[in-house]
Amino acid sequence: MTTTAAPFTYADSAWSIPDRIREAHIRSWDRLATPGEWWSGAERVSIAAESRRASALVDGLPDPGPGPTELPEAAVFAVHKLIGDLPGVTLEWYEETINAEGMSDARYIELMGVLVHVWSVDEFHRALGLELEPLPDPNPGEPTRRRPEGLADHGSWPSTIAAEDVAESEADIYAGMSRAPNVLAALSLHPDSVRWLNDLFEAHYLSWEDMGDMDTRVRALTRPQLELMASRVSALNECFY
Amino acid sequence: MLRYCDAAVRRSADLEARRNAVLNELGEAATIDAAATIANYQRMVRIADGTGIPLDAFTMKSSEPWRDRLGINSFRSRGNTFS
Repeated sequence: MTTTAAPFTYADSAWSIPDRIREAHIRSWDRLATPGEWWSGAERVSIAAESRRASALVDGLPDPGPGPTELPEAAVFAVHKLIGDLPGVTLEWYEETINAEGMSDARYIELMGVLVHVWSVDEFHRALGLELEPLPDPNPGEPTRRRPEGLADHGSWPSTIAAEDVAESEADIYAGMSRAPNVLAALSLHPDSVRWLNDLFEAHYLSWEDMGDMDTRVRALTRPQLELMASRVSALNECFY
Repeated sequence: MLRYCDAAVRRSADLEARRNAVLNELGEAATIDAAATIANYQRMVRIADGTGIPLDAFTMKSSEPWRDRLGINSFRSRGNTFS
């Protein structure tokens, strides 16, 4: 189901959702609907819809249905794998996926960028018992198919951009940091996914600047409480990193 | 808060009860922060393990004394660092 109504009003919610979160969720839906570098707006919304199908499958809920357009089979499988069998994601599986029909390393990273951000917004809603926001109508336009400069092997599976190699047009993605956090660099094959991550990370958790300050309290929870919860979620997902 | 995390990630039937426990003890703003933290790290772990980010040498060494004790060395995504 998609809609053109104003999203994320939380008007009927019992929760007083902070503006920083509400506004980041609105920007997330704008990003979701907009054509990317490697997927059209309709394909991006379909990736989001598939993430909800994967989640419903895991939760034993009715199938919410597909998105506005068909995706390559490997893309559908990747979404279900990343939602429902994260510990089973391996280098062998990654290489098989990016070499499958209709896929590439860049398409995989943009797919992941869409998937994890929609999933995160949805998980916030699920954790608070809120209804999921209807997916947006896709914006028209074609993917730009532009591969960023400065990509190299830095240890993770896809090529990434080191902070010292980032081009001027992408200089904002690491926000002036001399060394990019690995999770940011991991998405740098698709710079707009890094921008999306920065935006939602700050709204849901902390700014990268606040991350470096262990003493100042910027949320209702203390920093140790936040870190403990982060560690718990990571452990439950069997995330070694 | 940890039980709230467990219920949210594991999709257990006591999610509402766990959330209400946090709400009653810590208040609304803290409960929203907790939900946002869960949402944030449900994302971050998928980026890390979906792109095979290896553990850096410093964290690898400093975490060695307790990784095995906590069962972390048995996580399947350990292969991203050791393969």
